[in-house]
Amino acid sequence: VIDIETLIELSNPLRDDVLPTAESPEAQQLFLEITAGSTPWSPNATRPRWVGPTAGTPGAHSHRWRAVAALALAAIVVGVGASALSGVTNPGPMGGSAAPAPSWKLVGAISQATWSESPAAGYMPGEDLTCPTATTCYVEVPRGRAGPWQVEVSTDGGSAWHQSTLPRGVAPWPTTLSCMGASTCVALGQDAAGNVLIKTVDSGETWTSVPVAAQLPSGFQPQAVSCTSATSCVAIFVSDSTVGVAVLTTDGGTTWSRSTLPAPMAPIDVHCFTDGTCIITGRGGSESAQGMGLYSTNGGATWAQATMPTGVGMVASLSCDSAINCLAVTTTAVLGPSRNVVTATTNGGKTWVLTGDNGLPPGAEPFAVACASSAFCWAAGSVSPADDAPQLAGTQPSLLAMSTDGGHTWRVSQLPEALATGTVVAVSCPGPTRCYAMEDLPNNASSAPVLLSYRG
Amino acid sequence: VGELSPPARRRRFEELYTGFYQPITGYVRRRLAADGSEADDVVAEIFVVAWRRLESIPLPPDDRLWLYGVARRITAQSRRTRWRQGRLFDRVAREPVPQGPPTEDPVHDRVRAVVASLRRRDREVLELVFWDRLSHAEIAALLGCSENAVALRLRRAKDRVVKSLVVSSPALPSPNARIQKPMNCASLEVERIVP
Repeated sequence: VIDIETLIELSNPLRDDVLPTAESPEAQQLFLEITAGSTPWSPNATRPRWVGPTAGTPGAHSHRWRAVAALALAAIVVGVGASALSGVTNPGPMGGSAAPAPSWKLVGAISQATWSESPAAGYMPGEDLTCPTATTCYVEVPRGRAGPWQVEVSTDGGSAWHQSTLPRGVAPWPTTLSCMGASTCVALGQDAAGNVLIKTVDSGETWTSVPVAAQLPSGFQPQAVSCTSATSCVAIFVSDSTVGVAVLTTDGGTTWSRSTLPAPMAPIDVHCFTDGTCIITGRGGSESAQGMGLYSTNGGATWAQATMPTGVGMVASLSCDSAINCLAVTTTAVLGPSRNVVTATTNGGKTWVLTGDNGLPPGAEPFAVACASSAFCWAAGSVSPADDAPQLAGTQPSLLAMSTDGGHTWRVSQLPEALATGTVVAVSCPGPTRCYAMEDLPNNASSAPVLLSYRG
Repeated sequence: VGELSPPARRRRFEELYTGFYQPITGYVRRRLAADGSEADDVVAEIFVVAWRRLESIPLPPDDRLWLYGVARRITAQSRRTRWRQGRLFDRVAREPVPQGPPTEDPVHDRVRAVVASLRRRDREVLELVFWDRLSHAEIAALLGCSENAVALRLRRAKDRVVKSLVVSSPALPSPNARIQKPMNCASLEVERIVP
């Protein structure tokens, strides 16, 4: 008979006898990489010494340091207000070919008390930054370390935030928030019974939920929702086996119907226009990595397959203006090493083209795009280090670039010096003179995104 | 710890490195996917942080907890980054639950599977106690909760392991542990939904 504690101990999948020790060659090499420039590790001459390229030499840390840099460390800007930062700009390490875009200013840490804890739990807070007006913004964040995701609202341009009270037992699903105005927003979520649509019509003061009664088999999880009115919405879901479905309601969620997709697909984003045009982006179903788009001209009742650029992967971060022009982010190796690029449609999602990277710095990696109109779009992300450039963690330049021609040419924005390094993870533009963005800043201590604002 | 001379700095780092490289590597590998390169990069980052912030690392025995705190945060950030990239390139990707290589002992494999099936916060306490060998006080500091909460979570996790083992394999010898109705560690604790 063995007690449970011993049994659990003995079941440790990585006991000490299978782990590398500090004396292993890989561990010694790491030690020397970290302490490069100092004296050799140990007087024990039998230990192997670092014999690779020396620190500072291109290629010295080619694999490891690039990966370390990609960890995207984040930080709070504690106690540093807009007044201290807004006037300090730097030209940035990149710079486009055209004149720099107007600069941004720091609004402040968003709900610092709760957001500072969230990365410890391993989740990315608030990629759903949605600002339907110049003063009203919504974000989805995980509440504290253990709590579910929550919706927070600001009605004063991001200075003060308050937590919405969601229906009891409902957990909103990250990255599904969609707003139709300052006071009306929807999102997908789940409760004990399954998928639900939650909605507010009073700027997040109160929310109601209705079940997505589309008879989806178990295992289908929310991906995105888009509404053209308080009653007409299209929602997309995907199963564990990456089978996607689209469902729509025209009566505020009382009844739902499933529409048939023309090909197996893992949908990621959806956007619908008031004229009945709807667009879905994602990738092919099953194991396909090929980017895929669908479009509908009847409010999502039926769908047709879009013509996509050759060689693109997953298409996500869909952002559309009030016409039927949209930008999205995809990945491709067509323009060089595989990386994120912007793709665009000007005909309601029937065809997509790569917009190119004119004006973006080498290594620019957009993560999100936002368009107030086809003549006013922002791309947000960071700049990856060149292959031969050793780079320590958290030192990648942040990226905010503006386009006034549908994403074909870009002007890189100047950021305050304290914000010039990091990753801009979300951007939302309520109008051509106002945008908000959210950035993760590099720091080794703790973390909370900060909100930036642009006023054209 | 005040300003250190370069030789003292190096000695201090070597102490930390030789003392904690293996347990930190184990901690990280148990929490990340089987992709060894990702775990190696995270371990590297943890010690880069330690090197850069050497003067702010507390003296033993608190240095161990400091390192585990950094390890926990950077491991979480690595997952977060993967999730963010996953959202862009494949939002349907699931967070893996590392289980290690299969063993020749089916009982151990079964225990691992049961541990992997625990709720995340229960699993974390269980692993920190039995696999990372941290004390209840250290875990409480690491997770930011009370020792009492740690004890409750641990008991809940153990109960669930016992219950699952007994249910899944009646032939197993009856473990010497109490089986109780699972207790709520905190009333507000809700299992997080992972996209």
